[in-house]
Amino acid sequence: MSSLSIGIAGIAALLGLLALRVPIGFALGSVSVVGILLIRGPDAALSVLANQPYTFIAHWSLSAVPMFLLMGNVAFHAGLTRTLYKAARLWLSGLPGGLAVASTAACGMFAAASGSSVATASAMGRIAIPEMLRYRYDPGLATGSVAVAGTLGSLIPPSILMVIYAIFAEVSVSKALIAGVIPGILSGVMFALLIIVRCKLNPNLAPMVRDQVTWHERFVVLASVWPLPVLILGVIGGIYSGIVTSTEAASLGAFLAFVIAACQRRLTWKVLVDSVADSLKGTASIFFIALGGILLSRFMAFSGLPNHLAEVISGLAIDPLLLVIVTSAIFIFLGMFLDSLGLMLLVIPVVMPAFEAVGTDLIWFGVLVIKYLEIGLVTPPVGLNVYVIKSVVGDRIPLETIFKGVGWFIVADIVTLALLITFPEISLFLPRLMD
Amino acid sequence: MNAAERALDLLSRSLMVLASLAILGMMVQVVIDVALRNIWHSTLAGTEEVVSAYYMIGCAFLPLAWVQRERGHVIIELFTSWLPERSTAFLDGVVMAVVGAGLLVFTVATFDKALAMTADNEIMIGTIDVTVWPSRWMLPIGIGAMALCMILQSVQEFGRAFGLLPPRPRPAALAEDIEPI
Amino acid sequence: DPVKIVYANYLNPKHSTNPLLVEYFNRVQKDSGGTVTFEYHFASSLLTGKDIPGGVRDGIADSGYFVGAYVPSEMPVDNYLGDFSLISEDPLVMTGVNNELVLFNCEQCTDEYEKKFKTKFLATYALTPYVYHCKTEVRTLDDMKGKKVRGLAGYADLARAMGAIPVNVNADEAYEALDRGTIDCALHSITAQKTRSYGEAAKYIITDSLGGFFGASLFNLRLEKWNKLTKDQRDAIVKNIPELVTKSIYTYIKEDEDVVAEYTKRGNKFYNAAPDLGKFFVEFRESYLSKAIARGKERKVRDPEKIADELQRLKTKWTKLLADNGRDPETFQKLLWQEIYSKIKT
Ligand code: NA
Ligand code: NA
Repeated sequence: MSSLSIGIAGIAALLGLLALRVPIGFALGSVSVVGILLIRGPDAALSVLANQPYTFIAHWSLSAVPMFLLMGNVAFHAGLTRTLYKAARLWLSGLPGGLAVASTAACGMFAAASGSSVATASAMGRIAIPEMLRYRYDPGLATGSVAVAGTLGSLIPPSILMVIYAIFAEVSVSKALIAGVIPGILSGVMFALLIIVRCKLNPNLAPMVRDQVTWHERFVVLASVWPLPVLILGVIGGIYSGIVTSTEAASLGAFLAFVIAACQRRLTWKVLVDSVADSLKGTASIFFIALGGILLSRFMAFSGLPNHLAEVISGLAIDPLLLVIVTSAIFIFLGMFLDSLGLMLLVIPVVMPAFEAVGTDLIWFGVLVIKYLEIGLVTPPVGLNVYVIKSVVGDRIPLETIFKGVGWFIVADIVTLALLITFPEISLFLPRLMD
Repeated sequence: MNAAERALDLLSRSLMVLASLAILGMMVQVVIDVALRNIWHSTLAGTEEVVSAYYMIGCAFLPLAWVQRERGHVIIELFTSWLPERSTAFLDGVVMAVVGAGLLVFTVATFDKALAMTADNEIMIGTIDVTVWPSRWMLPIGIGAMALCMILQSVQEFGRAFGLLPPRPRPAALAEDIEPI
Repeated sequence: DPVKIVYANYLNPKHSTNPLLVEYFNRVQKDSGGTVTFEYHFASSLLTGKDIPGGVRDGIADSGYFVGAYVPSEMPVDNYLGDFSLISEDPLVMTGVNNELVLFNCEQCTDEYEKKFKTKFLATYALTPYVYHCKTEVRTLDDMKGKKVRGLAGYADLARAMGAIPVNVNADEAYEALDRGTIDCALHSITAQKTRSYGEAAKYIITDSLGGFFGASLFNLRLEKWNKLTKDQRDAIVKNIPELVTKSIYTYIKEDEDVVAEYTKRGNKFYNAAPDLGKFFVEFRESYLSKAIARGKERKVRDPEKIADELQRLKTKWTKLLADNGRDPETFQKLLWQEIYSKIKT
């Protein structure tokens, strides 16, 4: 059997294992190890298993995930989020799906404090979802909106993936980062519009406040909303003043959450224990899946499948529009299975020369790439952001509900992508101001 | 059976306590490093290496058994939701036995690696050298404990499949979170 | 018999060495009559820097780009040699020195590759100098005091010796850290101005050389594969190496020059340190030799003095060779063949 057919058989086997209730991380990992065994032999397969999980996890920039999970959990267990959502409910009482819109906006704001999409979803999942569920929002809408809005984390700076892309493509890091701002905001606006339209058409998704809210009530509640905004602004301030790097910001955020909880006299032993335990459970279950994802990327590298698909692109170098469309299709397909970094490492080197050949602006292309990676974070079967949300909500909401809730947003993302492709200025306007 | 359950409970709980030290240690050490750098023009040398090797590995691998104990590792239930309860239990029993065996292979592989890295006295080089081989041992420990939980649960699922054990309680409903509007 | 060699490195897709490797692979394929082919995985798509040496040993890949600094405890001898980067002023000289040393004049070096990693060492190069990229104009030793400086291992010692604060910032965060003032200076080769965008945040570059890294061996082949090859196939592999190494190193030098020209135009300043700081650099580099030897002993390198002496002897030899024969690429490639690669038993 050729490597390529082993790769395709591997994907089929993966889908089968997933359907049979095999834990996702294990399904990904075992298919990959067996695949590598078939292609490169048992020593290679065992070597991958013995070493790569360690070297992947023992990585500084990943520390933002446990730290932002801890921040979110402390904020949740100490009740720092309640007043804010109460206020949002009162102030946005006239807006269909108001809390989901507010959560999307909060994710967008938090994206300015977080360098990664998974970390953004980790922090915001605990903060936003229970509050929406408390007000009887549809579980699919509540979870889906945060899973998707979490992906703004890599588009709005700081962004670890965008920096890695910029170094890959040897383009200006600062221009690449700033290029993500408007597309990030645009994505968020599209999500918000989608929420409003869906909730308008189907009010059951997000029950409205029954009684008329008075302006007095609205202003009274404002006095107590400060903890969460202070927390988020504290972290953003820490980054932009140069006090912390974007990874250190996560630890600062967790620490600030403890400090604010203590100031409000809400930091009990139970809050501490529950926050730490939930964060650890989240960290371990997310990384267990991420590890499987890494191994799958290695297996795919051997199978040559991504390369095979990407080489199709090199043959299309005549028509720029066709090139972009086929590239989008390939990225979205591979993004179903591969992790963000793996996808970038495997596909970018093959397709970039084709884009350079037709004179594409590589900063614009970078924005598209990040957008592809973000869509990959929420598409089944390997959608890490969805698993982050699943680890936050636990048993109570089935995975299918979250993926279904995400589905609508993927449509919105594809519309956004089409806009970004049609109007490169959306991405390039800000970077051009820097010249 | 009960003794095995109690032993695994104690084991996974102890590993959680160690993991708690890792996650809190990560936060505290990074904040101290940041404070030293910004206020006292100094630094806690080796922070990046200690965070990467010890705290991260501790957070990611030590809680694995506890997560499995609570059935927190994500699975897709959609395609098997039509199965009767006892058939699901039988399927889970088979799947968990296979997964348990696979995790034992993973345990042995990381155990051998830990042994080799201990012999090499593995270090990471940052602004100072940091000895990191002890962190390698958290993999076989965390994954091994998860394997044992998995195997015990497999036996229990077979028990349910053949009616020797009562069915597993259903997950808590969403009700606890819902507040009247 | 046709043989496929899987090659892995972690260099970015646009790194100048990658196209040269592809060129090399094509030449080997042609010279072996199409019997040796390569499958290459760049940019960590198969193995990260940390995973490559063990990965080649265990057969995940057949050949790869080894950087011992990523696996310091597994490659103590390689790391010991890496410490001498600080005394490397001339990349051409040190490229000759290091290849000759590891292939023929240092049994421990060869053993580390062949016995520990079951791999045949075949090619390394010395990189162009590391220099400081700073946010503000740092000229004197006094200017350096209290500055937050990125640099590892020996370079962290240097920072401490200058009264600066060695800060460990992740490579992917270094640009942003410079931009926002989390750090004041970062250490990298001159090309980082462009390839890592340092030039947008750190516009002051102290061009005094702090040594050129030579712990990166760009082509190593699993012994199991090497042993399977016929003499003709091995010849095809070996005889093309001088060109690969020569082109790589001259490309680095050229890139440095181009970046200086381009960024000078943009208003960035490339300058020498004031005499006191310059002298401090030189003295630190000279005194570092004894520190490196002590560290080598600590890491269980046998007889580190002997290796250091051999290194110095070869340095003198290659300095003289280049002085006598000239420094153009053709000559350098010829010298590599004549002094080193023609002597490999195939
Ligand atoms: Na961000
Ligand atoms: Na996906």
